[in-house]
Amino acid sequence: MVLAWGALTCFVSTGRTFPTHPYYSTQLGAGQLSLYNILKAYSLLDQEVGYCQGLSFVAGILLLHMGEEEAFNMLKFLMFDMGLRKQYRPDMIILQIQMYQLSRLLHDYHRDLYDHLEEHEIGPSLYAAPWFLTVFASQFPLGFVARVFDMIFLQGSEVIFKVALSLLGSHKPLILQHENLETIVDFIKSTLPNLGLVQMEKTISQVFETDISKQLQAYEVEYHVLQEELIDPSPLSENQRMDKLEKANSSLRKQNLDLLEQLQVGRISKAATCT
Amino acid sequence: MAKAYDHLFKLLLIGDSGVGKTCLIIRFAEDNFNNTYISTIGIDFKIRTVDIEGKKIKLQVWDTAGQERFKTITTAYYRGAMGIILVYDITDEKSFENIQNWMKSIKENASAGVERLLLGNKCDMEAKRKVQKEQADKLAREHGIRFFETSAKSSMNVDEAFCSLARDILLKSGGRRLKNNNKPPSTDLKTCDKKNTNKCSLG
Repeated sequence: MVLAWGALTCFVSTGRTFPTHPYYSTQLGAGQLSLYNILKAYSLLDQEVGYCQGLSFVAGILLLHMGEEEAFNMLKFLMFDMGLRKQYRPDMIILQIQMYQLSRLLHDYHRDLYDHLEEHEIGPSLYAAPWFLTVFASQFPLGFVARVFDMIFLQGSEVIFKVALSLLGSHKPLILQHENLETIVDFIKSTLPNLGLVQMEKTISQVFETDISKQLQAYEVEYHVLQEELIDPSPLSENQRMDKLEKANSSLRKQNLDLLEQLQVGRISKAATCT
Repeated sequence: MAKAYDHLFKLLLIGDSGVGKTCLIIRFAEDNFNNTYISTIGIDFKIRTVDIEGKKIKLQVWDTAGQERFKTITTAYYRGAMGIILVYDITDEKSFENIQNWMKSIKENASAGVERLLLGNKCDMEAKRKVQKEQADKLAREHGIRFFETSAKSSMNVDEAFCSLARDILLKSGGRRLKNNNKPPSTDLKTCDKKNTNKCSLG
């Protein structure tokens, strides 16, 4: 029953993925059927994620570049090996964390823009959820999206953050000109995605210059800490506080060891390449 | 700068995936319809200003992704809504059954005094009807809310529905100016004269 319903949802969605693209525009045409096949097969392979809105765009992009079977394998690779899968899980907590991380990155890199958006109560979930869930495919030029996919194959799903950050940064003066919720969101959703070639190139080279992996890690931890405080606002007894600090301490010690190990591995491989 | 409106009301549409929430909003805000809207990924909104009882009401209409798992994102927007529109598809029984779950979501996440409205969309597809009007009427009565059957495609009842909700919010917020507030749901609504004035009037 659950499967039948899931299949139905993804069937409805195939008609709502790139509806104006010639390959997908014909109802029950070759494009829509291939897309349906891939999504159905994926939902059988990965029953936890099943079908999630947004996924059809990712599969849809792949299908524009390769045949059905290859596209299916590529989707599997993107989901499992490149780390896209976690954001589609039924609780969608990872997506929430990603929105938090993006907001913190904006705060670090573009404080004025962050303040402007906060002032108008515009959180990333309002504009960036489709950026993450469709890898920019639902709004941006397909040529640009293909470049983003290439970068994900090189660097993993962190690329989405970098692209988002770069796009927001390069459009900052224009976004700051808008003075209310409607025009700001409309600008980010409708105008910003119409990138020219120069802007695309600029964005892509910026992605290669940015390294945000440390921040992403730190902000994920921060998110969990904040959530815990929200869930458990009751004042802690001395013993509980002690427990909590001890736990935090041991997890930090473990993190420290992990990092040391990574450092060692890095040194060894560097030494290996030098000799 | 003078405000171009007297009140700003935030409305929110919820309901299963594919029942036509986005199409209803586009019909209401832009008087337009086509089948080629992409799935709503997350949350979106449109604006339209209407005249109700001589007041300019700016309606900020929020659209939500219908798929269950998006609730983690969308429920954050329930709290700010003054009116919530529950939508099902008259050709899809499951979407009607799920209205109960959506009601529960409202209870858990929205402000206590939020106005609600039930819509059965796609009423232009009579031949494929699975949900009888009486069933929905009954459900609406049980919850004490208004109910309309609408068609985003033909535009039937779309303006009426949005404007009646806006009017209910206005009456509630503007003190007890009218005593006959306890009318039964979906009574005598005259058509909104949309084409020329954007005006909404109720009988």
